[in-house]
Amino acid sequence: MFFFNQMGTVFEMGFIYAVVALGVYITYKILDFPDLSVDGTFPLGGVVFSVLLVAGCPWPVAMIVSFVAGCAAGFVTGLLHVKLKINGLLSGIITMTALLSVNYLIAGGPMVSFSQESTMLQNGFIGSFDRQYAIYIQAGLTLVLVAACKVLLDLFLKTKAGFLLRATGDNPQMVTQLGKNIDNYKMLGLSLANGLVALAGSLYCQYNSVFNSSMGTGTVVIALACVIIGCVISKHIRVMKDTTGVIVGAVIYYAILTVAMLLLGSEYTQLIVAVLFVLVLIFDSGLIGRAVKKWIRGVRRREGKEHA
Amino acid sequence: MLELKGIRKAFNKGTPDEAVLFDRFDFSVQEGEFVSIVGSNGSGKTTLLNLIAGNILPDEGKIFLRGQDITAQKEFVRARRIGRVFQDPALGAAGHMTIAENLAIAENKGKPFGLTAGLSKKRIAAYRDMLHPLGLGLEDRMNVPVGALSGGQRQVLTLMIATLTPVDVLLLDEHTAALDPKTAEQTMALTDRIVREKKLTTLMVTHNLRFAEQYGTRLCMFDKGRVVLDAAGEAKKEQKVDDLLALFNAISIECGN
Repeated sequence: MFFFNQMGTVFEMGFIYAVVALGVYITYKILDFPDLSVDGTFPLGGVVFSVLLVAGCPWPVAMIVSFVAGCAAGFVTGLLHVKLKINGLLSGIITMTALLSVNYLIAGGPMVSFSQESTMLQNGFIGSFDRQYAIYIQAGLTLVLVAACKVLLDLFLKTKAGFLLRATGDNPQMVTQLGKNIDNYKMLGLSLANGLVALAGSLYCQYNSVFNSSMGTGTVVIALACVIIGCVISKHIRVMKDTTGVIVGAVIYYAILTVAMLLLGSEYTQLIVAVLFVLVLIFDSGLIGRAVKKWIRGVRRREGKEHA
Repeated sequence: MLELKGIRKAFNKGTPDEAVLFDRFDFSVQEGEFVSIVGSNGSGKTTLLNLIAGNILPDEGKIFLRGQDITAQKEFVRARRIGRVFQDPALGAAGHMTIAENLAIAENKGKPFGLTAGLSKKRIAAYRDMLHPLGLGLEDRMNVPVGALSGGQRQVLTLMIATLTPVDVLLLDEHTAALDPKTAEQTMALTDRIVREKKLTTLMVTHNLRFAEQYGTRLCMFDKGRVVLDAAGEAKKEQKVDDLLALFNAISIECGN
């Protein structure tokens, strides 16, 4: 039963972070832009959603507004980068830092609680089930939303505008040669990405029925790990798209994180997140693969000697 | 049709290393000319192309394209009328996108890039027909990412991309320099064919004196920001590689290298 419950949480959290990862996929993989604003836009989505909900706004509207708020924050990062020519990494850090205050001001404190309100993930229908089944319904609903985001993103990337977005990350000079301003496409990508991240932030708050100003800590690192795991998977499975891989990657990541947290305790969470990220990075660079091969070769050689 | 008037361009301005490359430099190209530009490193060949393309701006002077002053136009705005192929084959096409996808965006140059399908299935046959005459077998690899192609194949594709839509001027920036001799030869022959077929006004910077002598309708040799040899039409036909080499050496010795 314990395992069954934990699995539900893994799926639910995995799918929420899959939405973040889809956003980070746009900046990190498509635009080749290291966007750290994510640590600020994830709670931004959460706080915008929570405050609107408490003010009596229906949850679908609040979710759309939080998406738009995320887009706006991403747009600011873009403006800092392309108009003021600030390094991409720094542009993200600036936005993220500013959002710490912005989020606090919007919330009017460190927390906004809305346990009585009806949302996509907490409502009368879901509440009528036992806790252990409710989590699977929540995960299912979140999956529907993730799938919708994934399909829309896939479709967008196949349009003419999507082609140019991909070309901007791939070869900016080519986009310039086509007579298009790469600045606009960078801002478009950053807006879309942070919109998705903020949307995920609103889901995270709905799942917990509370906004907590510290919820953004480590989001970038988690999302990047999900994206990298996902792209490794989709690279090895020909029919799988990167976007699908990213969703699978997020669930796998959360499964590993959950196991590690159960073994060590939740006070180690951020440490585990950091160590997991290092493992994912060295796995991606092939260091682990080479070390394992060398070790296997060594074992074989030793066995060979023993036989001789 | 292309005119540079009174251009001044200095590098490292305001530092003790300030170097004035162009000073009161004038250069013009007639409609339909195919100009080959040779010269040693630092002679200003590539800077000339950069000034025309707009990725560097002159300190003084004006640049006119078909009578219109384009000096203040940004690079991406000028690119709508200028095609360019770089020395680095990787700069010409998006490496993670397929051949078909690259041709699709190239073909859409000058039109809006909206939310309609980026790659139309109906056009793939037309792209195949475009690639078939090149004899590289690219027509059977439409769904292969461009990054998987060899440098020569990429450069040929880049040439197609740069000339797929009508341009006023084609700039070739040592576009065969990164290729092996045989591929360079093929790419150069193809370049010549495209330029003739589409009657493109072309500026080609090259280190290959034989290409400069063999192809094009006008030959210019640059040295320290000045044109030291300018031969068009009949005068160009009389230029021999050996004479060019002799002049080239004379200039280089003057410079002390």
